[in-house]
Amino acid sequence: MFRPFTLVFLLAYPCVTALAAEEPPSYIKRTREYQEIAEQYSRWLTDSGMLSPADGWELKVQGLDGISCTGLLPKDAVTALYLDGIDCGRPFPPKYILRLTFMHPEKIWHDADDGWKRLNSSFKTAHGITLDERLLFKLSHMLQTRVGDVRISMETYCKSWQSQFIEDQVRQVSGEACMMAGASTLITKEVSKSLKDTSIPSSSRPINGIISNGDEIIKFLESKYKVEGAVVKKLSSEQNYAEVIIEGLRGKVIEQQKNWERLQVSFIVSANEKGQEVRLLLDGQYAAGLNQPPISGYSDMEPTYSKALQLYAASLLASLKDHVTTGVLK
Amino acid sequence: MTENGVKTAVGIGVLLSYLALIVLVIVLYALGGFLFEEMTTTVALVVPMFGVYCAAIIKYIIANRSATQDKSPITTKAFIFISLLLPSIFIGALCSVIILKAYSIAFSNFDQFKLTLGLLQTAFGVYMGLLLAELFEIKQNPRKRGST
Repeated sequence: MFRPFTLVFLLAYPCVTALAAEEPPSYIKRTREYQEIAEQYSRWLTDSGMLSPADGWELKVQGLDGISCTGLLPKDAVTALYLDGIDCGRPFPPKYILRLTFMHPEKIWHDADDGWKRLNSSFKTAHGITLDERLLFKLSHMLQTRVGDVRISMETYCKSWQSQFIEDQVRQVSGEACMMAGASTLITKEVSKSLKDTSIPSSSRPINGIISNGDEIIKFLESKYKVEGAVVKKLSSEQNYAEVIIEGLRGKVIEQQKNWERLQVSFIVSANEKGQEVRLLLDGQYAAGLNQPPISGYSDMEPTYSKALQLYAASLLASLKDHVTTGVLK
Repeated sequence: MTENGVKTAVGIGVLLSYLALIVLVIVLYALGGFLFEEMTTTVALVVPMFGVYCAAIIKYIIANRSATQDKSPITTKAFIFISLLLPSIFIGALCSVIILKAYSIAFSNFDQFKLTLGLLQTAFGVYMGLLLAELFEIKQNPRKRGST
């Protein structure tokens, strides 16, 4: 006679207990989140071919709530590579730090002085961006935050060596990726000069051949993606830097599929003797769904769709260049 | 309704529902509701839920392929109700969960969807097993029979 009640009790007890259990403290939740991100990041480092587990390394992602800038110094490091120095006076102090510790740094860095510099230089020659840029950009994307909120502390073989890859006002980006999505293009001064003499149709939005600030790039993106039904969210905009998230795309990067796509794009503009060099860093996530899925339902496009990301990055940069030089929006 | 009538109705209903579930997942994948990996994982989760039952149902139908007269006893209305209700709720719940996931409703990610499928199997598995085992004489593990 009492069996139904016993069965109900046995079924209900775990549910009630679970509901009554206290929520873990927020710092424990964040620790778990960082652990998951560190694991995801480690898998990306291995899958991309950058670092092999055989090299012996350990990776931690740490939140910096309440930690002062001096607290960023690793105590037992042979040396520490601070991507941008520890400058607490900067307008955007870091919120997260990724500590990459090598058990045998001599296996990674071949000489005391130029190991990291050489890697950066050769990588930039091959891919258009430095080794440093990719890692940090990837981490900021995983943390869903601006690139400027992240620092990477990497123990290297050489001592007291700091990395500054861009002259000024650009977020430090540190990292190397054998697989990355990025592109660079050159807007020459000659083109800029000739554009001044060209009559531009009133329906277009010329920038006179010069990108004067990040807001112009963001306006271009908003115009371009408004037509496609996507939303552009501004993360950062400065004189020569712009960072956005583009949501609501379908089948643009990974063609012939109907997946929802979410992109994080950074534009870095630097001047040289020929004109302006514009570099683009692109990272993306995708998900299936008849309606737009929540952010947590997205998966990283790398490494499976790295080539598609690379092609899309080049295409997007070409569109920007066309818009800047001819005023045509594609 | 006789007992054989109940068996036939439930058996064919479960078979058709099982096939319809698999087709539903594939169609939703084609429409963009699932990634390929998600579709294959979902089918791989659904198939074992019905595997044993479908085999027994098909075996029963084959064994009674020549029966022309129904001499089985007439069943109670309560038995007919339970026999039709439990599989309907189970299959309806599975369909709902699959459609909700395809429309990106209620589930934040695919892991939550998988956990929910498992939860449904746990919640309904015992009752489905009891009912279909009795209807289609599915042999249970000898260790579970009796307490001695």
